[in-house]
Amino acid sequence: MMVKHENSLDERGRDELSSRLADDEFWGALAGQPRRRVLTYLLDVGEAPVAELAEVLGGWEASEGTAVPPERYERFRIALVHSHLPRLDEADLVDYDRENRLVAPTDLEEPVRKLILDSVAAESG
Amino acid sequence: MLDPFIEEVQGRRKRLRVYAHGDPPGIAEHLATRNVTVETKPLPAGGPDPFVTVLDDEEYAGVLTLADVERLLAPPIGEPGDLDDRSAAYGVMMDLLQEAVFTGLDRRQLLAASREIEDRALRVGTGQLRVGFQSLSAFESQVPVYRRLGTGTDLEIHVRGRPDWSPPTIENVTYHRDSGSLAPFWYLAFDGGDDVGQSCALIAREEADGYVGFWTYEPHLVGEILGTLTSAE
Repeated sequence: MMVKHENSLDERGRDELSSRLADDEFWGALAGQPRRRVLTYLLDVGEAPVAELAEVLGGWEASEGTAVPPERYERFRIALVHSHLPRLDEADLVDYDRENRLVAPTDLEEPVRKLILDSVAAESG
Repeated sequence: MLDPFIEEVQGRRKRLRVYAHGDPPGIAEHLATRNVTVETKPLPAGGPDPFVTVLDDEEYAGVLTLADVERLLAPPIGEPGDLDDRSAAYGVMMDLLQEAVFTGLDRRQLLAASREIEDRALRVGTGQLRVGFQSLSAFESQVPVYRRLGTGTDLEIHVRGRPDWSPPTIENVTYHRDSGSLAPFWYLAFDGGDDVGQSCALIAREEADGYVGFWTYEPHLVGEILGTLTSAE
């Protein structure tokens, strides 16, 4: 198991980063606030069930002053299952266990982690 | 007489899932209830502001910010008809926390919750509003509010309490002397006027360490409460 030091990647890490950054799939997967928010949450807690991710997206909207009724929560859940998680899974940003409805982040290179976390921090201005 | 309602509502399970940084100070203790489970989960540093997911019988009911929930503990009190942003957030919180049986409520918290019901009655302007503040002397501080509710509206207001004070005449308000059966209870019940969807009620029983009670917007339950109160006259 390789140890990745902050801000320094070994050769294999640099190769992985390069191929990721050259892949449109990666950039497409990051396009969308819900996906970046979900990734931020997963990078901190590790693994989470889909239902919890839907709750967390609701929590984000609540902090923006929007009421989040059950219908909205259900739409988050459906969007996660049918859109966000497959997309993130395709781009190798998460491991999506469809059967058990569990999601975990993949082992992301430090610059990618930072990019994601910075993007969500930027939301609050 | 109103005890069966408190007992019935206690059987309805509510869960509050608090997402916060660390252990939010005393949230579980402050939200002392008989039928609500409070659990806490960690929140990432880059994540949303602390929030609370509300589940009714394990089904997602909605979400509040932790700040909104804490407002329950130090509620704002305004005149009925004051609909500013603060009141709107308080209304959302009232909706999600209905049928949680709170313990240790104090008068200020009860007054704030009562205001939501009085405000609704004022906005609808018609229908039956039955209230009991235990003693008519406790009603004295509410006279300005009820002058506003009764004057020029089509509301039919019934105020009940121990006859330890002589209340003034207010248009559309009828006073009832309580013989004692409703003495421990602070209650309000509004039938919604022409729209049963606007009905709401609050019942609280005074105990040694505060009031035990709940509020509800569920029309069937409000109807039953009103039926019991009417038959007590």
